[in-house]
Amino acid sequence: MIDVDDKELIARVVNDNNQRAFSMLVLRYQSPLRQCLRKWCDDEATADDLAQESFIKAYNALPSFRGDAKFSTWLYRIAFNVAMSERRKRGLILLTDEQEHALEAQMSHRENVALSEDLAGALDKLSLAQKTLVDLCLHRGFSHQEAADITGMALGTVKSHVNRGKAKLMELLSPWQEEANHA
Amino acid sequence: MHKHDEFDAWLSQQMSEAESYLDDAGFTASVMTRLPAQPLLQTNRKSSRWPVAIATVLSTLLVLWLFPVTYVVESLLYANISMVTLIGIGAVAAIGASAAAIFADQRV
Repeated sequence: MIDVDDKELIARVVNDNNQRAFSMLVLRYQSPLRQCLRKWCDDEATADDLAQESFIKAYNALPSFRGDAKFSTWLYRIAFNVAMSERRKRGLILLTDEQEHALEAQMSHRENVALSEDLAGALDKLSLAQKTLVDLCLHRGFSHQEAADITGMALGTVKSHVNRGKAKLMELLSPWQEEANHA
Repeated sequence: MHKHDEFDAWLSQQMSEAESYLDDAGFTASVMTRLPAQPLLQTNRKSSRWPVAIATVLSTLLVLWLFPVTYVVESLLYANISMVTLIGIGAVAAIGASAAAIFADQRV
């Protein structure tokens, strides 16, 4: 069953109540989804709890999944909503907040700390929206439109965040990139 | 532009390499134990009720249209069947129709 595609597994879950097929979907997506949630929550234990909650919500909503989007896009959309809801409960900054825009403006004026910044450090210099969208588009292979579907942002806003995030990373990582290329 | 594409590819590779695979370590099993026990067909059932309801209404209208009401009433009058018997037949028919509808709904 490991080679069966997502659509076939979903059909087995919905039509035959095959929970084993759903366990294959969980096994397939657990690692990237948990990693992604760790970036959205900054706390591993909470991220894992939210990942579980996301999979259970996805299971309950599976009969309404029409297959217009990829299953991964749909699943990440659920996880994103779960994570933002948790951030809201904790009083943390959300992607769509005014605070987020203010923070972003503040960050763009901050001087670059070190030229030889490593990747994790450089990503931490981005705003939450930039970090999230760069991760979704450049790392997880989602298109701009899919990232917009996941985060509920306008396509133009997504493109703007990705471009600004990339520009900032390019600036922060250029010495590191050259060094890595020469190594 | 070319420099940007190169950077995108490099960044994508670096991000992939920086993220290790998280071992399942009981995660999937934990999700599976928290799934609801009842079958996942509620939405399908709701959506399949409409065609059943429409078919029922159409077939009822067809039967009423074809049913020779005048002929049956006249025949009953000539046969001198009492009103109580007619009410009884109606009640039994109504109970039968309701039971059939409930059974059909549970089968969907």
